[in-house]
Amino acid sequence: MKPLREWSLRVKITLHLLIIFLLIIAHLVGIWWFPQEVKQDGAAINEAGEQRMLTQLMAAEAHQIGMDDDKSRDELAASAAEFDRTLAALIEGNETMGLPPAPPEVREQLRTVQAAWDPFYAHVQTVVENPRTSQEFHESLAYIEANNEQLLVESDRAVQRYEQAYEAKIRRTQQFFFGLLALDILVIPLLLIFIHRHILRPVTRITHDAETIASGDFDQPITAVDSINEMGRLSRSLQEMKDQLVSTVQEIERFEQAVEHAGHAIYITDTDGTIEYVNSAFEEITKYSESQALGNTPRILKSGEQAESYYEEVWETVLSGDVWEDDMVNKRASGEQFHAHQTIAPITGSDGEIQGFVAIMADNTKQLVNAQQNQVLSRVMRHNLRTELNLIDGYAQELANTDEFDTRTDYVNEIRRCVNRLVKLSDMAERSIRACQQEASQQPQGICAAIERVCAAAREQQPQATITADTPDYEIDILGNIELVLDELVENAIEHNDCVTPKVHITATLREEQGPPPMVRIEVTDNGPGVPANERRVLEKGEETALFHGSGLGLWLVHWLVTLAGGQVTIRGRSPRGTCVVLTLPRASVSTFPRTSTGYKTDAPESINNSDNDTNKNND
Amino acid sequence: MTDISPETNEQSASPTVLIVDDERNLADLYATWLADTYDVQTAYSGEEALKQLDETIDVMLLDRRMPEFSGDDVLAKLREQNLDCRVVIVSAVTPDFDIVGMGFDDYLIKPVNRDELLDAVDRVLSRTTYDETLQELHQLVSTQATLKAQKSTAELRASDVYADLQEQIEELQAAADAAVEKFTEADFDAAFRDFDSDTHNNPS
Repeated sequence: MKPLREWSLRVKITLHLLIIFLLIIAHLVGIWWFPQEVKQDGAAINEAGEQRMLTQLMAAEAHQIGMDDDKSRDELAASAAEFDRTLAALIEGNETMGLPPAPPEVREQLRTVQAAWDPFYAHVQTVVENPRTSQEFHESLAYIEANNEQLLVESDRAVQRYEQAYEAKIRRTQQFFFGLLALDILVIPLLLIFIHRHILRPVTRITHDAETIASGDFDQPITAVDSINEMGRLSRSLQEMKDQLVSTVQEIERFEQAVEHAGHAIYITDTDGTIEYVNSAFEEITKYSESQALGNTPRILKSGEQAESYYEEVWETVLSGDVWEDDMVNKRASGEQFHAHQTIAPITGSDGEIQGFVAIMADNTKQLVNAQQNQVLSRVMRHNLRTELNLIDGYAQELANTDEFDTRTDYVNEIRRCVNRLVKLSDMAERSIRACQQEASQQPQGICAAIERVCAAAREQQPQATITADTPDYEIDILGNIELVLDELVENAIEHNDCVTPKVHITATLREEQGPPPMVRIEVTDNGPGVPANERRVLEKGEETALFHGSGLGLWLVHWLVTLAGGQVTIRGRSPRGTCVVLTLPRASVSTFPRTSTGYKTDAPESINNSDNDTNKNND
Repeated sequence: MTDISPETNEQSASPTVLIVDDERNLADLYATWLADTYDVQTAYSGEEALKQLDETIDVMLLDRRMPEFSGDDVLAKLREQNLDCRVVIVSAVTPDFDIVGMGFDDYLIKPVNRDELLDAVDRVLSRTTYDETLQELHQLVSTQATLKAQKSTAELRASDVYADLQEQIEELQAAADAAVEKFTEADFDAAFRDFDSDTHNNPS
């Protein structure tokens, strides 16, 4: 047989009910049986008392007959008949009289009464039937008077026996009920303990465990009920449910961690485009804090480089359930532009309904510049290398074919010039690679100081040129090698200038209208012949084809450095002649104290305090 | 290789060669090499080349990569004007499938030496005597040969442009076979020197 705790709850509860039912039956039987018994025993005691009274009555009547009262003969006969009938009923039981058969101890006494009664009854009959004068009459009368006393005593004993039996029965009944009570007192607590142990306690524990887990405490173990019954199954399936829940939660947490710490910016929007989640890479890349981004739309990243129709196309694509993937130019909170590779995918529920969108965005500005650099450098290197080598080879051939000293000297000089150009090219290539590599870990550079240095260097190298600058009297820092950029632009402006006195003018201003945040605008203006269209494309868009070679690497370097700094280059022609190269750059900070430098025209800022407030706002 | 010299050519005067390269030193060097044999003109940009281009030019040496107006642009203009001028590309640009349809007669990759240059000019000049079908065939075969030299077999096989090119060449070859009987022996030699070597390597 299975151990008790293995029994199924159904069996246990049925057993409990059965035990309780049996107890109730026992009580009911006792309650019904006792009044029945009491009623019958009462009747028997009554009848037995009657017998005793009849004994005395018969003695009196017999005496009356002896005293010449014949009327008493009938009465005596009736009394004797009554006694005889009742005695038989008492002994054997009589249903019409409501008498049960006498219990053994009473029956024994009744037999004694019967033994006394039988001769007594014969004498009573003799007295009733015979004349007073007859011998028998007198003998019988004498017998009655003599034995009346004994019959009375025996009858009285019978009554007493009845009473004793009755009392004994009362006692037994009491004992029965006491026993029943004791059983109740024993069984009911046992049942309660059993119910508590096997049903209530595990249910309470498991309920408590389940409630604790429901409130989010996944460390709470489920109480193990080591049984094959319902309780064991409940505990095991709850444990399994919890394990699955925990592993699901862990998986979600892992995903959350992965998303949170992904190198790419990840953000999730609802179907209206409202941002609901951003990871930390989003904050790093876009410079928008989580609190700034949440509740906003991705429009905060708009740089203005893409047309409105572009964004409409993005929306149409993702709303139709497709994935959008493209490179676009976005803007950080700091105003920097960056090239983003963006993938936007709809998030669909199990019913296929779009619930929102997830966007993954990588800042690939550096990769873009690197790729461009590789392409341009290899193209330029190939073209220039091969051209110069062609010259060197050709000159060398000519050198071998002539004996004339002057001609030979000319060829040697030409060859050396080729070599010089190659060395310069290699220097420039190395310089541009290094400049772009360093750009990543660029320290802030003060614009005004950089302009001063560039102007001073250019004046020294190009004494024929007029170089002027117009800077604010407070320093503006930007993250980028502005000095190298300006160097290249000034050099380019002077080198390609066909005027007797090349003029270059540099201005730097902080422009509120291009923000927020305010952007730094640097203009390099010259009086040269203007920038050819293909060089313009290099500077503004970073575009070059295999067949157009620009001016070389200088303008490319400008484009790369400005792109890496998150800025833009635009070129405006000036009338009647000249070019204005406009650099728009995000600023790193604005110093609040005036610069100590002199010799530059001052250009008062709109309001230093305002700028500071703006800075603070953006840093919040 | 230079058995047909310009002197023995049908033309009475020396053929005129236009050298187009934005690298002045290089254009001048080419001019020095060619000046003994030909009338030479130089242009240092695409625009200059277009100004100088007319019927008197027999051969043009053309650089592809030039600022503003590229060699490809010059070539396109030349085809527009329908000038009968042989074109030798002399460029540092690695030929890609974009050369198909450009219509040049030879493609030299820098650096080039004196002999290569003279040889190329000589070769394309000799072709001026062929009829149009053969000239076209020559241009296509030359394009094919340039690509074969620069691309792997797999790259060639994957290119639709190249497949079209091969088809055109086969058609023209069939047409040329019909005209072959009219040739003198010398013409024949010159005509098939180029693609003989091709078909030996690649009997496609």
